[in-house]
Amino acid sequence: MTDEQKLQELSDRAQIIELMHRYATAVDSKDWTTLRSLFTDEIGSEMIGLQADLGLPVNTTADRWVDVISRGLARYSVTQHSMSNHRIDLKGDGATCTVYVVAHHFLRDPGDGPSIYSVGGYYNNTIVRTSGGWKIGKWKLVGTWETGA
Amino acid sequence: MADEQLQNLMDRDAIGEVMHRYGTSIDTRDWTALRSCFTDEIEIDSSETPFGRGGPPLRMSGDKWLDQIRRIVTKFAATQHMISPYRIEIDGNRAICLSYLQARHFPPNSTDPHSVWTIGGYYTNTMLRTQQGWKILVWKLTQTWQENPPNPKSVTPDLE
Repeated sequence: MTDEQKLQELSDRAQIIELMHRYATAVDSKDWTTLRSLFTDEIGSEMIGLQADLGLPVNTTADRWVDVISRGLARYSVTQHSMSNHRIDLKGDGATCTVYVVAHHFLRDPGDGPSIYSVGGYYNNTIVRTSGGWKIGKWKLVGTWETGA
Repeated sequence: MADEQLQNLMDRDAIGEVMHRYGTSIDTRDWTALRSCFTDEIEIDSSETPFGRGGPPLRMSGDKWLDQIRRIVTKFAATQHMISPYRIEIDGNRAICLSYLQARHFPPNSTDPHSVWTIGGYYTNTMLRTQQGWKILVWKLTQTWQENPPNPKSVTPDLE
């Protein structure tokens, strides 16, 4: 690899990691405008391994996807998505990014049930390079555990 | 200077990637990937863990250490090792990598939050630059807290 290629790869990796961190922060701060900006206009979504069904369309517009997510999270007063263990596989203008997540969701009105819904697993997202930077083209969440469901 | 800076960034990225691969391969039971994180001879410093009881570091083969990890983690239905490399100090072909750890261990057939064994602390691993990339030469875990610990006998590695 030339120095330019090394620098490009480092830069791409850093930007993709930041993309996923921005995703987590946007969801937790309920900043739907920022969340929307992290996706391509048309996106795929897939969620496996969890009891919860968010009713996400398999293929949809990012606008609709953010709308579904924001309504699904409305019953929680606070969420926190912690991420780590990034694995990035770069292929030209595309990439896959696997990143661990532990997400805690605090119910506004838990009633007699558990007040915290916690889920762990990993995202296995497809990332694409656009003229506006790297964006999420397919969102995939693989749940490996959940408590308080 | 620019060359050194670029090399330093590449090394830091690669060392962080080894620690992430270490955690992820334990959880996905990818033993080939896990083995690739270790040198052929590895030093295990468990002096600051409940199972280490302050004993001296032990040298063993990377294969044997892999077997010990495999024997323990496969007792659980799922594990998740959240690893965050916070400090990397490179000195030539060696480096010290301090990584925060939170690891959750889920027993089979239970969704009770109080059955989850969670441990926290940090690794202070010594990394070695090899022809196959950076690898863990000294594995050192400092365990600072835990919740819902299981019977210690079932989760103690055989370090002899």
